[in-house]
Amino acid sequence: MWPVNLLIEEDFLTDEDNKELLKTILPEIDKFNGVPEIFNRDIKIPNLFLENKPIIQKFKIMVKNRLYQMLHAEGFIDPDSLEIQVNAFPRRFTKGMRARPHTHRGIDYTGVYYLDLEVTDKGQNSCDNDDGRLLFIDPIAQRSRGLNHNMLIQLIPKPRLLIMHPSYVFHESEMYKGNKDRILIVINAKVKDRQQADSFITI
Amino acid sequence: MNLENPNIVLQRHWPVNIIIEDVNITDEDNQELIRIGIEHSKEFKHVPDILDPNRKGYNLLDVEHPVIDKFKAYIKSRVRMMMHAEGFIDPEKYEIEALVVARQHEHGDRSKTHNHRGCDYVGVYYADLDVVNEPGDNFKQPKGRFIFTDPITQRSRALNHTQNVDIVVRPKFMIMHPAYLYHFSEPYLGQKTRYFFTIVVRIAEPIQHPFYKKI
Repeated sequence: MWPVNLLIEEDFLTDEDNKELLKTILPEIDKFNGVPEIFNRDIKIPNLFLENKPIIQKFKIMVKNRLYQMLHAEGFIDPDSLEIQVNAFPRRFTKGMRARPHTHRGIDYTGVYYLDLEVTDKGQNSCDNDDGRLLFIDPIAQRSRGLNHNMLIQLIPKPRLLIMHPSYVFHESEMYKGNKDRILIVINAKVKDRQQADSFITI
Repeated sequence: MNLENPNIVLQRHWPVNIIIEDVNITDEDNQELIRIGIEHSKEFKHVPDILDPNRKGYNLLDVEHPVIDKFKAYIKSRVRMMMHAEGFIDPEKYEIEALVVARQHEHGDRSKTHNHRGCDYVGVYYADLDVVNEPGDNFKQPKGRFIFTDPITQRSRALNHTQNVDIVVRPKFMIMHPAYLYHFSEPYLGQKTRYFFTIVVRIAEPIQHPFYKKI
């Protein structure tokens, strides 16, 4: 019961499309820059999917497809009839940068697509070092100590990799150790429920 | 919180209690503790089961030494303090089981996110280290801090600023917290070896604990 579904897809875009998307995004990537509210209350992060460029719209359609696959895996009732709202924005990680453990509150699913980076990870088990990995943290804190090896699911980011997961799962990026910038796109998705979503009012 | 309406009661349940203390230990005892830790831990690896299923554990509290006796009494007193804060019914009736291991971090070493399953409370005593407290936030760049992660994933997005709790560690400093709480150490930025002691605690309740048997 209640498994945590992670959708992991290598070669999500063709090499050609990936280069095109990267070329489209890079010149304006800084306008999507954001920091938590505690540092700056005034930042607004635009939605990449509002850019009417063919490669971005192609990427959006593919993301939409994978989101619906996720809804099927999760067990939604008639998932194809549900509306999904998405906000996507690119991010740049330079050498030494990381993301602390966090969830994506207030939404349902989160994805990350890695466009470009240098893979430095040797893929070996490690304990005391940062390897630049994406770590998922078991949402159930209390299990047997003999299951410690499953406490973290460790994924090695590489170009053209898409990862999608429920937003409630704590995750973090270890310090990035590559020399070239790591460029990725964050995807936040809300599933509009049938009964209440359109009934909310501002009070 | 000041509630003007006396008919309103704000109940605050299930807090996460964390003890943070600059420990009153002499330099001599602290150095002796480090020496004992180095001496008794050198033949043991500190890696998870997945890296070495055959590794052996040990308990520094087994060492007969006046400094270890003092450390043991100190741990016991802080666990009792924690139990009172947590709301145990008659905390004194419970036995406390503890295990201590000595650890060392060199420049760049860290601990990945983890909790301590199978036990109740965890402490870490930092005996010696270079204090690194660079200015600015550590949102994107680690600053060598000890960080707790909120055990409750689902809160308002506008409370994101409390999703992690940072602590800047220093010599002769102790942190104690419930074992279920996820935490990690950012890569250590100091130059000298960071000597610390991990304290793992089980509360032996008197009703079932004595009757467990191997099956």
